[in-house]
Amino acid sequence: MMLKAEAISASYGRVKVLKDITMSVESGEIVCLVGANGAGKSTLLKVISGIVPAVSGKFLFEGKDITNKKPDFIVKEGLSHVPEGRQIFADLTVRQNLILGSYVHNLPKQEMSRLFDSVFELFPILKSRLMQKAGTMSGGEQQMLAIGRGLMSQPKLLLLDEPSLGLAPLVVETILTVIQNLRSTGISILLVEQNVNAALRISDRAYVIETGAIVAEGKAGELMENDEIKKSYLGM
Amino acid sequence: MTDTRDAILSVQNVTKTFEGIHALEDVSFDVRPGHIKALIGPNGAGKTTLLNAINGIMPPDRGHILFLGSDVVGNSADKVAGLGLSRTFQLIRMFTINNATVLDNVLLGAHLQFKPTLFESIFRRRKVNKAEKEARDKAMELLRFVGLENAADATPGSLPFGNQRLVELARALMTDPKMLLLDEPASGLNDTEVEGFTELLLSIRQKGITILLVEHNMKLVMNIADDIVVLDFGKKLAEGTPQAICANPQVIEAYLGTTLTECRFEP
Repeated sequence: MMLKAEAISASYGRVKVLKDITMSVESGEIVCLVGANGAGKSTLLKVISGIVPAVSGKFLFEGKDITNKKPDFIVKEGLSHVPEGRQIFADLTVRQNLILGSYVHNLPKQEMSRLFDSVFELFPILKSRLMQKAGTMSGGEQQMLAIGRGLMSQPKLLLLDEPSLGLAPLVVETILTVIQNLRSTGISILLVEQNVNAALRISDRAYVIETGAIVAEGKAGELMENDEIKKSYLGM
Repeated sequence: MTDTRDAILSVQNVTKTFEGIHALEDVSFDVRPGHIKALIGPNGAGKTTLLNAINGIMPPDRGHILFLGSDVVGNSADKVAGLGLSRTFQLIRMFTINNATVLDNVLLGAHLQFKPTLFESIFRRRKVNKAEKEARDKAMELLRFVGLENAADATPGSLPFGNQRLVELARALMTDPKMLLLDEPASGLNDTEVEGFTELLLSIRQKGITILLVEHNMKLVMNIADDIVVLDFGKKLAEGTPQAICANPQVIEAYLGTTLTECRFEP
């Protein structure tokens, strides 16, 4: 078991936004969180990575309790979060952004260059943009940088929040392919994506979240055939 | 090209350079009144730059932009908005100071029409109060129109991303625009939410408001655009109906790809 959430609850002020969430990601899986705007998907990712505190419940990452640990500790354990809207450092260069992704490990130079190479293998465009200010790149390139930065901490589990947001159709296809390639290198993925059709197509399993609670779960292929899911999320 | 006299907006040979790089190069197209025209193209193709040129945020180096027949190049953004051309932004811009609510944010859209003088504010309270009430009623009506009447007193930041976009749309409509420029309004909406949004845009068009829509969601674009203009590397790559654009090999190669289901039209 890569990640296990047991009865997680979380609140913003007095508003309870996650209620008794129990879910898991197995090693090597792509798991997708499906839900309407405001259902709590991004919040769940933030609670997992320690940005928003859990009020109750427990997270086990490879069997180890990481509930409410500091974000940098969680990254160091091998769990990396690529946030919604990319949140790259616009005034820093591509290279600086990538270096920041690896800072928790304090790696020797040789190891760093190996890491750089592995990111360039996935996103060759980043290599040619290395000294460019990140904010001057197109949306698609910025998303690649955000994922690249996430990979620089050598995660076992990658949390991806809306990686296709604001991207051209062709670039969305590229990103989806990259996610599948990442999985084949052994990285597990927990994916939040409004492009539900595409997300379910590449996922093994999915959880459906409504107003902070899980209302359905199952194999991605089966959920795609579920009438309720089709009506609520797939626009069919 | 259509006769520019029929166009509500006519973009003519617009060129914009940033540090020697052509962000826009000789771009021309027209938007007919009452139409929904989509502006699509790869990330970085110049779509937002073009919107910025049209609404006066960042004027072009060369070219003309005729809105209702008169050239708006050189006009400030608020002047352009005053002429009836309103816009929303790709990255949502909400006012959050002083705990501004969703309703407050929509009300801000009214400031172009409602400018009481200091004299009026002090000595004509009744008139000003009446105007304020009318603005509030209108803002509430628009929030109802976009489906957010229950969120009027919430702070914008507490709303999910997709709903914040609807607040922006209501704020843009508050100016009684003749034309709306929408920059990726459907990003962050799921397919079912996109269907609701499609209906919303259609009813805006029903009100007689022309729309220029920058959007990557092809489900939305192919469903509602009357015609489409495609930008690539700052140049116009193609222009035509959704069917024609979907069948255009250059557009497929530069932008659409081959896996899109939205491009399969009923015969």
